[in-house]
Amino acid sequence: MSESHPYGILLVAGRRTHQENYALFFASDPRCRLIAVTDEIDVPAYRSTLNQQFAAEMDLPYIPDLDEALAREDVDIASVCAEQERRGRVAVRCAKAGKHLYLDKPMTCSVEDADAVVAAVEEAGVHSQVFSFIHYPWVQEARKAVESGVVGEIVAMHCDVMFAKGYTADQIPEKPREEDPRPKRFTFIDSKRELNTTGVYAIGLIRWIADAEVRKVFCITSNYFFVEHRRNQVEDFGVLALTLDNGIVTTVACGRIGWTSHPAGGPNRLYIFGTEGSLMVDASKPRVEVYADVPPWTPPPASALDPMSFWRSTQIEMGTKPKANWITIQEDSPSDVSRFIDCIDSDRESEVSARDGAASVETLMAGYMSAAEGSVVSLPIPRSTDQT
Amino acid sequence: MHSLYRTINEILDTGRLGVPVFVRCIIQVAPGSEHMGNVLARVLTMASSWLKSSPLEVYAQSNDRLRQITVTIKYTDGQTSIVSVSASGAAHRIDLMLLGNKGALYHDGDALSPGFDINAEPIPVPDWLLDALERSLHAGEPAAIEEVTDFE
Repeated sequence: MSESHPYGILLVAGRRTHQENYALFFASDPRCRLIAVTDEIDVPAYRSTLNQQFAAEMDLPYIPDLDEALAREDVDIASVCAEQERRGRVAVRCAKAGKHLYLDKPMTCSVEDADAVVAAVEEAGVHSQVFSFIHYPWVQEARKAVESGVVGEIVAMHCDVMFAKGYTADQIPEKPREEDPRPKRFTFIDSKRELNTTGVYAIGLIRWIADAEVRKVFCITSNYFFVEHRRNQVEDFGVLALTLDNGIVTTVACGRIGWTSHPAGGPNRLYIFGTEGSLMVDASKPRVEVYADVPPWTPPPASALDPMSFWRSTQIEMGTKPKANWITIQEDSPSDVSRFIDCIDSDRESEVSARDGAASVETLMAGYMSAAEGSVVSLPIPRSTDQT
Repeated sequence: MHSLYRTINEILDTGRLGVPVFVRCIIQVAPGSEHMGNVLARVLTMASSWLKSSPLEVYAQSNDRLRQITVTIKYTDGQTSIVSVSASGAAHRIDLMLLGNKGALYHDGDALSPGFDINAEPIPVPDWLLDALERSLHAGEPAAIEEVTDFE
């Protein structure tokens, strides 16, 4: 941080993206100052409107031309929440402009785009961080336990990352899902590819805890829960069976499983089996359980513009109440954003840099190939030469 | 088979969870246990019964540094399961999650008994399972199961 002023933060994309969350974290860190909201100049009208609404809510100017915004000397960091499909090219432009990158997850949705982001970051010499679970207390606890040696060498792991959101359909599809080996579209207003969206958290924390790279991927994607996902031909659930360095056997169950499927936000658990012992950490532990003579929790009405309740603004608009039976006990800890600012301040690489983000993207893309082909896919996967 | 099996059957029979689509079961047995294959066979048999479907494909993973086996299964009607048995615990433990398309059940057992008696009379490990596990572990690929006739 400069001694005379805080870091200037440029918010790329606004409403109905995770920028709704990240902007608040940047705003709450005294080392940061929000500068403006911006985006690519040719974004669709609905995206431009949402960006302008967000700028107005945050009392910030909206600069419709990304290049003009990036030319500002008071911008030090770009928080990039453009939709996954265009996130890579936006991130490259920000890095080439010499801005540090805080990136929504997954970093991109192709290995080619991920490679381009890594190259741009490293060439520009800027810092980068992709949002992840690693700074959550339950994941930190797992890492500390592994480092203490209590489980010995890690031999196997399993991770559940599921979100208890969305209204489930009454019927399951008649036929099992057939996967696309190289999907191009990942996000819709009413659904996202959930292997990509939720599996990225599991892969990120597994790599970080094991300090090991994924070498082989077996994957099955499914449509179990939602009409919206079926209609858009994207999966709502996935399982991954991974082999990491040193033969570490790892499985992942991930997806979106419906509002009423869990007493809290969804099963978020990690099991670690080692040569000396095992441990399990749970995002919902430790907790206090509360049961009272009050009406039970009910899901909010579905929003036509965000039926899965992806975004903070929708949850507020629809009057979403927090579930109240399980109250997790958590100490205050620095946000993922603040940890990134720590890295910039001390000129050290983030623990989830663009290179780590690219590794997670490659695992996910290998997952789609595996799910389509029904076979194990070894990393690295082939790069397409006809893609920018 | 056991009280856990019956209890879950009774829950599924109520229809509250809708159509069962996914089972995840993590089992820990004591390091000296001689029943790992038997435990795996029991859980896979139960999972197939709950999911009301037959395994189509089995992908098995193991690691020589620990007595451990993890199996990922795709069923004929599209359901999936992950079952892992490891000899890494000081005590027996079972952690089960079953997802239906309309709900979920969770069983976090600190001990296997009485939910799942590891010391119960061993059941024969079905030939189809032994064959598929061996083929998958040998090839490092999922192994197809042609036909399963000896469930339940």
